[in-house]
Amino acid sequence: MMSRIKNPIRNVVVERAVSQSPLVATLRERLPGISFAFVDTVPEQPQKIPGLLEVVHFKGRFWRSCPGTKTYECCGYQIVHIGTQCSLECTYCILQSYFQNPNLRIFGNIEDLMAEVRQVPASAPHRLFRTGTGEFTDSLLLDPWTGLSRHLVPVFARIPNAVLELKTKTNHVAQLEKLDHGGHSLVSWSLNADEVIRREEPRSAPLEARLEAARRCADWGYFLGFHFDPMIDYPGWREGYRRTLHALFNAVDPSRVVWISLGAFRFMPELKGIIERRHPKSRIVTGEFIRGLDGKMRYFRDIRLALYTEMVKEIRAWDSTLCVYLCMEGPWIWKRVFGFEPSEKGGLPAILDKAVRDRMGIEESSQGDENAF
Amino acid sequence: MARPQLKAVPLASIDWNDEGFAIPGYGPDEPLVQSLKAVGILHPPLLWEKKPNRFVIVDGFKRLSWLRPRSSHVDALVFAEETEAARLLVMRLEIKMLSRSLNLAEKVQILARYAALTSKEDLRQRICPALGFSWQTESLSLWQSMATWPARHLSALARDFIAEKTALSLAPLPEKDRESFLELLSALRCSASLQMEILERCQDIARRDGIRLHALVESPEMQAILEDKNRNRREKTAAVRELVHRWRFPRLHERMKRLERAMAEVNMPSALSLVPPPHWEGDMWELRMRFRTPSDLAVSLQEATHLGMQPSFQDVFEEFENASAAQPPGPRPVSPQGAA
Repeated sequence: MMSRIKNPIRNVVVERAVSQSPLVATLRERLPGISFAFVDTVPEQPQKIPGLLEVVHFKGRFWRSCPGTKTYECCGYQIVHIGTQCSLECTYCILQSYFQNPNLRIFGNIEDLMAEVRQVPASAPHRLFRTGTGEFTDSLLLDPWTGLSRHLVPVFARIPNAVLELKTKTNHVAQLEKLDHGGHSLVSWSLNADEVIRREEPRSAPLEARLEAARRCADWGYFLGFHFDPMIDYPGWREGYRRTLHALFNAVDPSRVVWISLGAFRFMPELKGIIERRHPKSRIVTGEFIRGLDGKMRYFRDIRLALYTEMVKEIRAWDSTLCVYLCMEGPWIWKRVFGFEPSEKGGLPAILDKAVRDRMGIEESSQGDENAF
Repeated sequence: MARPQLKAVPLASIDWNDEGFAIPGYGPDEPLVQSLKAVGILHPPLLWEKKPNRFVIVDGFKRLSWLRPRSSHVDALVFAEETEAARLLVMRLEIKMLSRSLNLAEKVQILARYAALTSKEDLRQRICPALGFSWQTESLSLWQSMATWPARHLSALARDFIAEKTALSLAPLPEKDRESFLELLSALRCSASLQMEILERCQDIARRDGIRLHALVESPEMQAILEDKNRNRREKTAAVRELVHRWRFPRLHERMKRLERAMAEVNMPSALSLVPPPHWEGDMWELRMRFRTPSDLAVSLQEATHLGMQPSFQDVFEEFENASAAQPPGPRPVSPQGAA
């Protein structure tokens, strides 16, 4: 099935410090007709330049904890920071207001990145690390051209106490087929009701393309994850989300699915004006939002409860043992949706660690393989 | 530029129709009128002898208008014919800008007219701060655009019924939408924050329901509030806010009303008040207690204990929780002309 996504790169600017990086070599090999410019420092651009990819020497921490809040349940996720921004232009995307630099940017010094990936889990061998690259960009958007998964997936295969999640809205998975993942990588998709995908995610892969890609990944032995986030309250949402769930479980074997997360649309107040300006046809900011305890705008509780309880009921009918969790929700919502608060089961991180153990067969108590690196 | 000469000028020699230097205030200047009545003209108006013995007013429109039926001559400072009109306009703008507190209509006119005479840098660094405007490029063009509003719109700005932030938000709207809100907000004369609340919520409703803003203001419900002679402005503002809240948040509004009704059923001691979680978020309620003395406190604590046993008190929590379990319908347009 053809994706609606084409190569988003029209020209590349590379910082000289990373000009010899294997990632840059791969880009040059796979983008033969694209111009490459080399500069000492990529300047900060106030405005987006369509098609521009910046390859920079990143001097910060590649491995970091996902920012959570005190009032809403945090899942203890770890981020492997590979780059920033995305060209899918989803109307609701927080990246529109999160970073100053508006252009696609990846980090060329992958030797430094890989060193951190090897070092951090080894420093805490009794802890299970659930990590992902899809926090500040789409994990697979540029992967056919950067080949980053070719470096990351085999390394994670040899880290006994970590799993890697590649989170995407694309169907760019062909390059994953031959990789040695060792059962330590899961590929996950952000899913939505088809109406929402068409209206709010018009440049991402269609639902059927995402599910076809998921099926292929499952065939190659990857585990899967799905994230219904952001869920949107719109007339007909029940039927819309039900159809997506039916399509999902008709496409993949639920036993390959490690987790499904649910998160109702929420946004920092300053994003509202940006969405109104950049996406004048979108109505998503006109929902019945209140200011949450973390300052973000959220649907008021009745709406969130309705969205979640309906989804959980549907998912349970397909697989009663599948790990379903709520992203950034309060214990009072958990209690109403699941009948328990995360703290009663050791906290949300423990719930997700259990899913990794049960579905992927990975134990955090395993000792690190000293020869792995 | 040659210095002006003080001359006695016949009022009949003034070209009263030439308003090239006028910056209308769109409102009466009562203090000035009172001053003129009391002491007459203190500062000579500025005139330009555009042609021999034909004079154009540069500064002093109101003073001269007041004088016209009362005198045949005025002592004025007269600029010679060869004086450049642009230099005179700059002088006029400077006098206007710095002489007294300006209303918003005057400010936007000064800004717009100065925009044609000076650099953007000067506008940003000097003129905008002097007028109290923000200098961001986007707002600068919006402020300037207001100068082209029809006189009846500028008149609403001149009366200071419309806050500057509100005016800025109204600037990009189609004329009919803007007019309806100028009328609504002029009638309510509420605070800047309430103006913005009403406007932003109405904009959200219009966007959600695919209708024009003026349709909300012209709706029978809104008009009934505005025309209600038994309500004062504060009561009208409260009623408009309530209506707009119901349109903007139909399910939340209904839930809040139901909870209010349940809370009203509780026989609440006067020293206690019950506060639900703000916006229904979280599950933390507050019971507030007021007391003067330790013995007051002891009484209130006892009352609070009894309160917890009241069935009506339990009903409040049941209402809060049970309604949450109800499956609310999807959002439906509830505004007057809401379309699917």
